[in-house]
Amino acid sequence: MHSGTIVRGLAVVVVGMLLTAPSYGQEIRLAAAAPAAASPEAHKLEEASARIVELEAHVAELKAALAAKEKSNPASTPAAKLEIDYPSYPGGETFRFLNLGVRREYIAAERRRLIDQLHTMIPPIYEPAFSPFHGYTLPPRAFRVALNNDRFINNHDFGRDKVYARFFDNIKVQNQVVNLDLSYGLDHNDTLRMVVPFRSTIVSGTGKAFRIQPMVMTMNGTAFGIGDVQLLVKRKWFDQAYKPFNLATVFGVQLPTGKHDGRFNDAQTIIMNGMAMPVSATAGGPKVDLFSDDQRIPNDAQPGTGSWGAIFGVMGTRQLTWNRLRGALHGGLLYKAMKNNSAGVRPGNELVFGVSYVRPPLESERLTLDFTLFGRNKQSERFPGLIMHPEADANGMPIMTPDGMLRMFTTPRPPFEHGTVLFMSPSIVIIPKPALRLTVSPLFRLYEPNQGPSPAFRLVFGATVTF
Amino acid sequence: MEKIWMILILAALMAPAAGPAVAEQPSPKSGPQQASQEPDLNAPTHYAVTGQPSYQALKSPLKTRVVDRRFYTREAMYLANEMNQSGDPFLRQAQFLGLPVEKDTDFQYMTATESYWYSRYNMQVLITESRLGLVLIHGPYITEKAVEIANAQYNRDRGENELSNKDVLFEHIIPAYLSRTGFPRRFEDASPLMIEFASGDPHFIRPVDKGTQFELSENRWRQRKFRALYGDGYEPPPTGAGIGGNDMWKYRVNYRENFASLRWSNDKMDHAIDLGGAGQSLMKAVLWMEYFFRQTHHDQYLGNNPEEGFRGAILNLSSVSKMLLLKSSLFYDGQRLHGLNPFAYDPAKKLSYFPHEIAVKARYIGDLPPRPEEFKVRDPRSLLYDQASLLWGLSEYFYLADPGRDRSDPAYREAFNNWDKVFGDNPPYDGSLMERKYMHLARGLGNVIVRNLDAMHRDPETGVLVSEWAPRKGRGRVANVADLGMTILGLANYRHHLAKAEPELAARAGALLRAQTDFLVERLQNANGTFPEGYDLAAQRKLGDQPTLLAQGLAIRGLLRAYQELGEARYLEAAKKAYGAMNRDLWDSNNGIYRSHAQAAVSVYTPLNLAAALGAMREMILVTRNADEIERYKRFWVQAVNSSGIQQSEYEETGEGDLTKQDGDGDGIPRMEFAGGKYGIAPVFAGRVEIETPVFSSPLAQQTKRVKTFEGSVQK
Repeated sequence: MHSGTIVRGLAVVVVGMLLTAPSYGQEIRLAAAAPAAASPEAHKLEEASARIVELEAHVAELKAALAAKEKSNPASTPAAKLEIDYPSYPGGETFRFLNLGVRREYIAAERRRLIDQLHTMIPPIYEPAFSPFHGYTLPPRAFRVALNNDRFINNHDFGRDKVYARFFDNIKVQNQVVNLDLSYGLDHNDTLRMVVPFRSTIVSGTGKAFRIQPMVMTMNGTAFGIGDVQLLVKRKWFDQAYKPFNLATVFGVQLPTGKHDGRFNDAQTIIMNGMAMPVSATAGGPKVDLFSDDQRIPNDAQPGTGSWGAIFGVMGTRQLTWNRLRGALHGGLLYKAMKNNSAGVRPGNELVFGVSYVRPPLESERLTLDFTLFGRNKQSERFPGLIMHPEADANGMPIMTPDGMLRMFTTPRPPFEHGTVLFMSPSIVIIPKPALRLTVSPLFRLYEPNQGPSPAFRLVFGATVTF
Repeated sequence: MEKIWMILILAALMAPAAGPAVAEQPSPKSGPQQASQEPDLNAPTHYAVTGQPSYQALKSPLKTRVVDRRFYTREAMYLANEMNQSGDPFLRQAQFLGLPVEKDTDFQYMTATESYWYSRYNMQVLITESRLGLVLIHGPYITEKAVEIANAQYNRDRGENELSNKDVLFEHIIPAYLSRTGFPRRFEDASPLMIEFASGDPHFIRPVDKGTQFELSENRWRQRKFRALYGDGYEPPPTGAGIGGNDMWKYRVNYRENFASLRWSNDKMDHAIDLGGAGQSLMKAVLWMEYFFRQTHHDQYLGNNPEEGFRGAILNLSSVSKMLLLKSSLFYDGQRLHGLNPFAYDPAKKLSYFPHEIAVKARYIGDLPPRPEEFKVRDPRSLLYDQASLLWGLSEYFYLADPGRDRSDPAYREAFNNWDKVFGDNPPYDGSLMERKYMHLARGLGNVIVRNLDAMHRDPETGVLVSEWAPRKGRGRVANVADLGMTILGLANYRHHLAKAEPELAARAGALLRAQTDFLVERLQNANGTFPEGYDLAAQRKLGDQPTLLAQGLAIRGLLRAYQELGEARYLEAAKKAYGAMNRDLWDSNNGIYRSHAQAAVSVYTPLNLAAALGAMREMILVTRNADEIERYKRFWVQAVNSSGIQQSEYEETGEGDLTKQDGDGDGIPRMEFAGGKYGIAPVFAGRVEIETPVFSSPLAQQTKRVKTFEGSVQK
């Protein structure tokens, strides 16, 4: 009950008493003036006056309490007691907000703050594990460093087609590619990216150096080194915040920075009729000159191509955040048009494409799953020059000239066919901290080209840090 | 002598004692005719309703169809504002004025429950659940806080010293609000907006979560951490519905705490800011803050109850964020958007104004609210409705925050004191929720608008404000009556609330107010009392063939507000005449609604003309105290609001306590998840409804016994 009510209630009681009874004070004084007489009326008067004194004291207490409460709670004091100021030109530190956006565009300044918040900002957990096909770009001034390791083995890389089968038996190519991927957010729509590959290739197997039966020669070779650096700019044209999906394009160049002189080993071994004989190409032994006069391994197995390339891609993302399929769909393709290199080798144009569905399986932001279909279609590699072949009879035996020499004929170097290969990859992405992503992506081949190499299995590990 | 002395002392003690906290008494905007009357501060609101009334005596069959379910912010928020005023304030004022509503359970329910909650549904769905706009987490207020707090940490760690806006909101601001309002729980997946988009599709895009075992993810995280700390010694509280939440809550179902399933489709939003919608939603937020903070609870906490206190705190944050965004980024000079110091503004030097529509480009970051990155003007016109709406909202915010406000209305004294506790110089340390200094932001922005109305919209010959100003073209030639009505509301509010802070500009606003009202009365009102749709200043002719509900409603609303502010009796007479004409020419007594225009066989209702009608009827009832018009009001409410389909759905507070039934209370408004589409429709206003109002040849055929024709007489 409010103190005011109490006060009024008591006041009513007291006033009522005062109004209904004669003047007690006066009667007390009259009673005091008269000799005291122990009458019932006098007793009542005494009681009443004592009660009045009591009530007076209580009212005074309440009044004091009310005043103390008013004093202690400044918000309840009448407005006149609050200091109210209406400055005609509010200024100073208190009113600095009045200048927000006046000298510097506020929303642009706010965008730039995003980089400062990156360590606490949840990154897009809907980004694919390894596929570059998504519509996201980095926030302005954000750096990203990604490292991924791609390991794949082509067990029958060469020799699957009719032409190459005459030269090679089962050739295995082991590949290890490490890509260093650096990105920088130029502004809220554009991301600059540089990819620096490092590749190690080991070729092993046998073939027919002279294309005649039953002579078999080992065909081992290696290649190692930096690959062709790619410089790309990705531009986001619109965002799902205001359109149905993100759409981005990529333009870039591939620089001929990579090494492309990996070769078949000079020393090989010829095996014939159960006998092994070491040979050396420089010592006049048979050369593996299918791809070049100097025994280079195919262009596609080299760290680099030695060629300039132009890159164009388009990609998009649709986030499915508010239904049961919570996740994101991504897709895109990238076309690489390659120039012939200085040795006249045509590396072959490439079209890479992919579709991904990324889905966090839990409410947690630390784990997400990715299911990607990823593929490549590559033009055949073409090599300049001619190679010589011995003529063979129906049994594959060489035909000799009357003076005991092999009868030879020359042909252009056959193209190295590729075709289309398609992989499926279920990936796991672990995000232990907001700016750190770790990915594991096994790739299983779904479709192999009729000709050309393709590994049955690949394994890609990756780590990404954004700061 | 002693007796006289005692009486005098006691009389002195009685005088300054404030009354008990009375939730609602006549608004200080009630008008000069009520200023001299002393309210009964001890009178409670008489509310005898025990459940959804059947309204059988008021209902009749209505052929209606919802033709546009889309939510349009500028219109819906205006309707929500009028419904707010037609809710508890209307009931209280009606009781106070002695209107016969104390036993009228129908009237009580439709005001204090339905009107209140329909208004509140629209507000809370828009501002906290839909994500139809830019979320305040990206707003300037929180950015400032992040920079301010981060400075204190410099050099104390490895350099990661700037807090994200998310840190600031969830770790600093919201805990302070929870503590100060006594709200024990935190909503999850709420996306409180700082500024709203122009329109959106209110269909839900996933099933409404009607589970009952919701637990905040932060509570679950916290419990894991406490277990790690205490081991077996820690006993987590019961989860889900077992946790004691707000003791005022009656319904514990997941969607009331976790709003993820109530989100609207981002694809179907119009990602542009409508400045008229911004103004109306600002007004909306302020009206609700005025209500939510009217009392304190449990002796120390701000707000009528914990939830309302917390919601009020968030609305305050939203309002300040909106005003800061308006100030910092949304002024337009004809070439680019920019920020402006409103106290340094002079339209004579360089014009800067709020354009009609601004497109927003943002970054979609998965589950997080989209982050704005760029604004671009989509419609560069200055529209009178937009400026008036903003002025209305800004001046009302100033009124809420200004401790020097007019306190002459004793019925609001306790409310004023409680409003003052919300604002302070050093929140949260001084117990306040928001810095009082932002009242000057509202003041400054209001000043800019008044200056711009004068410089851009005012026709120098007639003094009337035209409805449109465009870059390179300048002032338009048309003054729409509806826009003038809205402008009068804004100007009157500014004049009333900023008279002390801005005497010159308030006087200027008063002059503009008088000019608009005079124009309505002297140039626009027809002899039969009706108003045209507008006036073409160049051709000097009235526009519109038939009187429309929108024009009549807003004209009456404006006239009555001008009468309250300026005290001129002729404005009241003009309003009464117009009201009589509206009833004569537009009222369809067979269907119990106004036709949207005279002789309309199919009446089109939008939130705008419905709001205009409700506002006009309400204010006219309060001014004239005509009990017959209450009957008309009730009939209109049941037919035009409940039965038309314009309120697309509802939930527990207005009768749908059974979560399994489509329309458990039988009022014609379904529960939200059964309202249409695959997953339901949010409880908001539709964009357009068509109601068949066939016109009969004989006017007498339209008369019913239920409602008398209002003839403009004042009943005393």
